[in-house]
Amino acid sequence: MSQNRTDNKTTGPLPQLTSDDFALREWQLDVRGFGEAGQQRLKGASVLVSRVGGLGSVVAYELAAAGVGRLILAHAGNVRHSDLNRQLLMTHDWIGKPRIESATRRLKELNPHLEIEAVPENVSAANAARLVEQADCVVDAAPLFEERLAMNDAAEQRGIPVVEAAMYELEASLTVIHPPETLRFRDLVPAVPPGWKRRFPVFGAVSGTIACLAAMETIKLLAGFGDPLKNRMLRMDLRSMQTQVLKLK
Amino acid sequence: MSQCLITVELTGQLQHHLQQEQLSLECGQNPTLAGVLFALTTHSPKTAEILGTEVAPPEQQTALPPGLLIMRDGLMLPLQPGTPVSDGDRLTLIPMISGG
Repeated sequence: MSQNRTDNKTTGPLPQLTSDDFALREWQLDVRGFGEAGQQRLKGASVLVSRVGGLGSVVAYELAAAGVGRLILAHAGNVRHSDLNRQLLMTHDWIGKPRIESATRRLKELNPHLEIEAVPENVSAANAARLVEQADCVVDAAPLFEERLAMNDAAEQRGIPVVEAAMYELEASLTVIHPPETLRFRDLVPAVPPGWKRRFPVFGAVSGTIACLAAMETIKLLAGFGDPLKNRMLRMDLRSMQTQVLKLK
Repeated sequence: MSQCLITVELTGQLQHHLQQEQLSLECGQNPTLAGVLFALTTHSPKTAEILGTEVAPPEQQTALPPGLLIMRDGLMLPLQPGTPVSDGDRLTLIPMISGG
């Protein structure tokens, strides 16, 4: 178990930063409210990313770049042609091979120090508890509400915050779920919406945009600075370039 | 008495299906969220399928479709069929979206 269970709470000594850490993260260490302590918290943290598709690929890449110490990546199946408009950890030469291997390979190219637990499964009610309990924070980038509900239920039981990112066409949304401080995910989605379809229209630039913001929310939660989107939902319409922050509670 | 007119802003799957960003709906004299949904799904029965519900008169609705948020003036309304709305209200209908 890593040291940084939930936002801004530390349960053990933080890992020391190496000269390599200082060199690699020089530009972000000067961010107000972050600094060396924030970098140590990232280094000591584990993050579960549920699926490394259009959203999760970019989230994982940004977290690897920022210096999060350990990523637990859960994604089943092999790379398909239709993944490649948005799943930026997948490559054309990997079509037909496991997505999780492509994601691991690409993340290690960026950050060889990163510890990765590569799980070739999607999150389900059967494995959610086992995966979530290893993490200090969860990023929900899954396509199916069954996965989202299972993961949120497991995270709620363990007091672990979930960054909820989503997209559709040119719209995207983002919020942080961390009961009892926030609403529960089931307050927003009490059951699987029967009308939701697995395949939907989207550009990779839309998933990438909201994924970068989801990564930033994760970094804020882990390092304990800024004002995460708790009880608020960011909605973006990239067609009109309008953004709104909705009050959920 | 005249019908109350409610403007609904459409997002996500609703906007994609109707190819419109907003609609004006006549919702009866003492409208509720159930009445708004009835007016919407009557206007376009496909929206009922999108929301995973049926076209049903307000008195027959016991719950709103799961995963539908309804905002007014930037605040989430109580997601109950009987939540009152008023003539001239502008509501945003937000079916929850996901990833992939």
